[in-house]
Amino acid sequence: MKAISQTAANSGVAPADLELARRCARGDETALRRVFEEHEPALRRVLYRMLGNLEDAEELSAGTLLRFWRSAGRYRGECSLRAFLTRIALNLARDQMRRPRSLAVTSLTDTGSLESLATVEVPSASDEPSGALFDAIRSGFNLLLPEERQLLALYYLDDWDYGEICAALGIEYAVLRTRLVRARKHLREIVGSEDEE
Amino acid sequence: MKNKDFDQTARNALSYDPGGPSERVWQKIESSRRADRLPSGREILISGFASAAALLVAWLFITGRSFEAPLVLDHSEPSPVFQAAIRDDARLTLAAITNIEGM
Repeated sequence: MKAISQTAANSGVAPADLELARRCARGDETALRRVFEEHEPALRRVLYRMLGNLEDAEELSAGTLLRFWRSAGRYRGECSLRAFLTRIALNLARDQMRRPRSLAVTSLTDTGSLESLATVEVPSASDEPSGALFDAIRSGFNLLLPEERQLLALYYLDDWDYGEICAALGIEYAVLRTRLVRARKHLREIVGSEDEE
Repeated sequence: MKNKDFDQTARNALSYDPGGPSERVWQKIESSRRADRLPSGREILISGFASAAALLVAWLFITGRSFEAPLVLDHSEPSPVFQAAIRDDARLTLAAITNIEGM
């Protein structure tokens, strides 16, 4: 379980992160390779969960690292390099999801179509074995709004603390907590899982 | 189901193991970097010198050919066309004189 504390946004900053970024800003290709080896799998994991497509996830993972390479000098150590890279990745993913071919733009902006999609495509999880609940959660996750999806992608997929999630999303802790509760509730509604608390 | 349990179930349901760094992603990065890479100062100098050398060779080639071309026409050998014209002219003149004398 994540530590519920208002951790400073820069709690995860390592001096090595700053040094790596500086080397990238100077054009050191071995530094870029190291950033790639350390962070690419995590970026791809978040992007895959956000976009639901491995090909797009790979494309944006490369795009994220390229964007970092071109503007590495902007990283000043205000948060961990992982959070900084993830913020770039999430921005790219949101742009991708706003494009017409994306599911998000055409179906999720309209509440009616969202509900109909949820009703039609997501199997109900109540009184079902965990396999069906897993399927329902996976399907339901793709029906969440992009902002909810990126929040839960970080919350569920990685062992991040709240401070790092705040840094990656660029929001305050109180806002994060509110949005997290709302996003989880939305997912539970889609999945059909009742809250017993 | 409590939120805590739901979170754990969701975490398990959404888990995805990306494995190690993807070389396919690295190739995409490399190809993009190659495509938009600016030439270094050394490369600019080398290509500048190469272009200058090519221009110099071309200039020498062109000016060398123009030096070989005759600047003044050589009249030592008369043109056969000119000769024929003069011959015809002389013949006409002679005929005219003959006609005058024969009058």
